Amino acid sequence: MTPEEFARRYEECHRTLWFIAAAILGDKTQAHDVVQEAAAIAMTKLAEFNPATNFTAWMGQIVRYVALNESRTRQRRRSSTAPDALDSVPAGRSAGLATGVSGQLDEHVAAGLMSLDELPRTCLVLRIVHGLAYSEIAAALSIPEGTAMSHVHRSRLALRERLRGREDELRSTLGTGGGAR
Amino acid sequence: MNQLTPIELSRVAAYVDEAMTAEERAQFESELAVNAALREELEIQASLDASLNRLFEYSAAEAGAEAVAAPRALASPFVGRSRVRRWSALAAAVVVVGVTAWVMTRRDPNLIPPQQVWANMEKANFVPNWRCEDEPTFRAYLNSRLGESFAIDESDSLKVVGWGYSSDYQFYPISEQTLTLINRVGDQHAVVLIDRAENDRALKVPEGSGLHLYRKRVGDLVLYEMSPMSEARVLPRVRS
Repeated sequence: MTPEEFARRYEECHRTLWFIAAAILGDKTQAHDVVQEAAAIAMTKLAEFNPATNFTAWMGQIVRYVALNESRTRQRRRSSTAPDALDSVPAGRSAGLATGVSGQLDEHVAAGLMSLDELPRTCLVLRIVHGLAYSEIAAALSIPEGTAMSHVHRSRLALRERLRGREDELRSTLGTGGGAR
Repeated sequence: MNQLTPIELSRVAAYVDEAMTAEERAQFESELAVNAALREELEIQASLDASLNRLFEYSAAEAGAEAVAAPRALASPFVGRSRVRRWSALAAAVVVVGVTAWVMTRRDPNLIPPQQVWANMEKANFVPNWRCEDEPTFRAYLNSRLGESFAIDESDSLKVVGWGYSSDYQFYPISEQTLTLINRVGDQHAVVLIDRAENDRALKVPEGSGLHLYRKRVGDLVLYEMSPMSEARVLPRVRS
C-alpha cells in the first residue's frame, strides 16, 4: 500500500478510529492523539498490511492497542498520585468527556459508561453515537457480528441499570437541545 | 415511574438497538400503543442515547488542531527506540498531518484567518452594519442565528457597538454561521467572533500580528475575543 493510498483509507475510517479511542479512554482530546499515534505506527508497518483484509479492522486493532496502553499508563499515573489530588475528581467521572446543558446527568452517564468493560463499551458507542451497523462494528473491532450485537444489548442494559433512580432526570432532559442525531 | 420486568427492559433495548425481527418489532409496536410504561422506558432510552451523543460529540476542528500538534505529541512514545524508527515514525506523522491539513482546507475553501476579519473591521473604522437596541433584541437575534443566547454586561469602559460583517458574504473565519460583534473598550476596540461550538476551529492569530485571541465557551456556543489588548475585556462580562 502506498502512503497516498494509506492516507485516503485513513481519512475514510478516521472517525470510526476516533470513536474507538474515545470510548476506550473516555477522553475526546486524547483520542485524537491516540489515533494519530496509531497512524504513525501503521505507516511504519505498511508492508505488513494484507490488502485483501479489512483496512479499518487493521487500523482499529492498532488504535485499540495504543489506547489501552495509554489507558493503563494513565491508571498507573493516577494510582501514584497523592490521595488529596484525587479528591477533586468525583469517583468514576471521566474528565475528558465534555458535559453541556445536562451536565450532571451526563456526568452520571459518563461514569456509568466508563464502568463497563472496554469492548462492550466501545461497541455501544460505535452503535449509538457513531451509528454503525452491527456488521461494521464487527469489522472495525475484528469480532463476530453476533458478539457485537450482544455487547451493545448488554451494555445498554447495564448502563440503564447504573442509572436506576434517575428516570425523572433522564426524562426531563429530552427536548433541551441535546437530542439524539 | 415504570415497573417493567427485566424481560420487558430487554425488549425495549432490543427495539431501540434494532435487534428485533420484523415480527418481533410489529408485535412490540402494537404493545407500545397500549402500554404507557413501555413508552416511558422508550423515552428514557432516547434520553440516554442523547446524553451519549452529547458526551461523544465529534469535533472535526479539534481533529484538525490536534493534527497540527502531532509531531510534538508523537515524540515521547518513541523515546528509547532506534533513531531510524523514530524518524520514520515522525516522517509518517508528517505525511498524516499534511494529508489531514489538506483535507481540512479542501473541505472549506472559504475560510479566512481571524486577523483578516480584524483588518476588515479596521478598514470599516469599526462602524457596525447594525445594532440591537436592547438585551431582549440582542438575545432574540443570537437565538435566531445560533439557537442560543447570552448577554454582555456593559460598563463605563465597555460598550457593545454592534454587528459587523466579517468579510463579504463568501468568506468566514469559523463557519457560515459566524457572527461578528464589535465592542469598544475605553479608546480601543475588541471584536468577538461567535459560532456554534461544534463548528469551532481552534482559531489562532500569528505572532507579530499585534493581536491577541481569547476563547470562551458559553453553553453550546464558542466565543473568540480578538484585540490588541493583553487581556480579555469582553468575555469576562458575558452572562448566559
